[in-house]
Amino acid sequence: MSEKIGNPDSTSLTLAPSRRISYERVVDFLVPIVCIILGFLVGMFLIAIAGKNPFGAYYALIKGAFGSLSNISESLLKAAVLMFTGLSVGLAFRCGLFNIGAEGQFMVGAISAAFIGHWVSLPPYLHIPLVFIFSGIAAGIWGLIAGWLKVTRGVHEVISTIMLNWVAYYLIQNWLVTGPMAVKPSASTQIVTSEAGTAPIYSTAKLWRFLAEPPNAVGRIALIVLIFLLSFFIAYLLLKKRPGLRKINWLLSLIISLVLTGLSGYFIYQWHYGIPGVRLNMGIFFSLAAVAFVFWLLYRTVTGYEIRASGYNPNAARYAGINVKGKIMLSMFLAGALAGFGGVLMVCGTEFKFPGVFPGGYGFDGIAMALIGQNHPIGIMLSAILFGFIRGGATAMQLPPYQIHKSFADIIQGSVVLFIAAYYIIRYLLMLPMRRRE
Amino acid sequence: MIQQIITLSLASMLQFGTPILISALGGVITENSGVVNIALEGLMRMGGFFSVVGSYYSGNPWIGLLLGMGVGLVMGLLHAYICVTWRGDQIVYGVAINIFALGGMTYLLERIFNTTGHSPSVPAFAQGVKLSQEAAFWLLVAILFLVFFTLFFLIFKRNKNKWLYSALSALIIGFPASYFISKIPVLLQVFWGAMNKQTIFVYFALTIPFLMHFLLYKTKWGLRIRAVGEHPKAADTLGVNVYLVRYLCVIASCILATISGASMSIGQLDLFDNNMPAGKGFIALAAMIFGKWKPLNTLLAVLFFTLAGVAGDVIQSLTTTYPWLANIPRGWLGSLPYILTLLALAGFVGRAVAPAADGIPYEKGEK
Repeated sequence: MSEKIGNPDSTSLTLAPSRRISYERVVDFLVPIVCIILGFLVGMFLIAIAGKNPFGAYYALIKGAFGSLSNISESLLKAAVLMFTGLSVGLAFRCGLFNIGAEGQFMVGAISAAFIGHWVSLPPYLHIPLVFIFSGIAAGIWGLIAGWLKVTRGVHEVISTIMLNWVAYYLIQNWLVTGPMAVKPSASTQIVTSEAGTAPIYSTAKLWRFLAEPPNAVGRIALIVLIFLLSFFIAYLLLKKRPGLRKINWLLSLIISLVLTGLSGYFIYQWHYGIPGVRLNMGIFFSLAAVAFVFWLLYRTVTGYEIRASGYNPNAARYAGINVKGKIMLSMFLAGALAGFGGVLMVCGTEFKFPGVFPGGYGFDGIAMALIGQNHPIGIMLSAILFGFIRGGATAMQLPPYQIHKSFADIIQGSVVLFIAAYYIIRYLLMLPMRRRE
Repeated sequence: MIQQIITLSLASMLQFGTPILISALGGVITENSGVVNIALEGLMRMGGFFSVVGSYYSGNPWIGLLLGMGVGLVMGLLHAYICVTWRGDQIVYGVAINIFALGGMTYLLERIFNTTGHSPSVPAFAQGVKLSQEAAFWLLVAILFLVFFTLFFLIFKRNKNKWLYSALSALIIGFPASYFISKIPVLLQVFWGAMNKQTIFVYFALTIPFLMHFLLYKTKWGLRIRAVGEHPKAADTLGVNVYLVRYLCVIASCILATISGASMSIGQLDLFDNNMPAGKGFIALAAMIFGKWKPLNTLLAVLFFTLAGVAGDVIQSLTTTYPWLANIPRGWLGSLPYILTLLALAGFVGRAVAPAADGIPYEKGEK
């Protein structure tokens, strides 16, 4: 979407193209950053008109986000989920689809995780993958409905995904959670209210809280494998563009990643102590792996190229022989699965059941993440981390000297997206210095 | 018993449907001019909140309503400035307003009233308009008379003297007929029971679809609006000011959305609840599409949605006489309107086609 917005002006150039284009690229890169800064200024203004010191309040926010290990872990927990929902929206955006349905897909993923987590009993090395596979497929199908409706029936995906959100909301929260999947009131326990949620999942399906809990073998192996894949991927990306290393870059990156994995593996096996109460879990590594996967898919594979081409200009893509309909279905399925994985992280990482009072909004925040990150996986990762920390810090701002409600984070997020919507204005203002020089 | 249930469910349908209908019509007018407004939910939230604020400080609900509409005007100007003048992405803007309204109203609620859940009670329209049985009778007569008039008008549509013929036949046949139909005690009782003590917003909501139908299909400005929504370039070539039409429609839409927010906060209740629209803005969006972007069809779509919406309550009240009804999960009933909308969109219940230029920003002079 941003590519679509960004281009029209660049045809009417008069200056030397090389210089102008580089400046334009800088501006395109700057716009989201300027939007974030403006969003923070709006927040400052709101604190100031409330008669409080904005700098002190922002200091409290930063302290709340980074103050202690448990604060950082809480922020990263939020960031991990935001990354998944942001990637879900961003991937669909790249195919020209606006997936507002991340919220519903998130819920479907979460309820599937709660289902597999409680109704299936397996050893952890099978249970966790099964949870991911099942939830991914279930949420993916939920996204695929919108894709299928678009392809075969021409239904705009914005409307169909809004509808699917509400269908998911009513079927899950007003039926499954309070009906068939509700906690069974046993004789010994207290009375079950409608807010109890579903039955808790087995401990085999819980994600390892690697800072709090003693390590287990599966968690260790999974962590090492993930670190290996991530470091290999990053090393390969970094080395790929070097002209001298074209033949041996994969070998070099393999060596580098093996060394890194070995080092980290040593530390992981030395890990003896646990810090109680730190809820950070393996989910953050899954999110990072998902960022790497989406990056690889979009920018390093033919399928990803075709997805982007279909999003950029569906007619041209069709004439070039790309199966646009298939790409739409594929990217809606992947978008659904990614949002569903976010739900898995919430159920298997923090809540351990589908909670009766559902912490909603992650799906809608995902839209903001994708827009702020300009639909690029790395951008989404960065904005998810930023807003994870803002959300984590905002809870600390509620404490006495400032007492600012934590919805402050929503305000900043909303105003940043508002500035993103005003893309052309910001761009025009940033291009002004160039115009003056003409 | 049955009469009582019908009366009660009609009354709750009117309460439930009023905000949806008003904001759905807000969606109709802006999308007919080619600008998408998915910020309805957020605007309803803002309207609801600011009308409570206005009423709180002035002690007069009308001032509150005016403040709510003023916020709608400002938001409409902003929407049009960003999405029409600067061709910003309309859906991104809508998402931004929805997020912003969610956080902003929670924040302001705490700032202004020092509460988190809901605001204190303020002067409101909650008492509603008291109808005497006499007044209800004449209101029913008037409505039936208009229905007859419309029927005759449709019969004489092709005739040159259609106004004269339909007026005469409505007076001769329609008036006595509607008078005697209104005399039927059951009908009058149900109508009176449903309409008594409803707020002014209900009356507003029930008249505005017809006014909007008239505006869109019978006036010059309506033609302009639809032309701008279907083919802005052609309209521009013929001298229609595309930007002006879109500005006006967007502002009207935002004001309608804030009125519908006010109808919830100072209409049905006398306070602002923090999770107020609770998805009604999105239902309004669905109703607009289900109604194929036409005001009268939207009215029918909202009627259908509210029927599904109050079905849960009605079934709850029927479970004493028919115990097997308790087996139907409420979630199924809740999801029904959305599933039906999806089916409608998929063309199984009749295809919905949006205005051709809906959601596409117009740039003067582009090829």
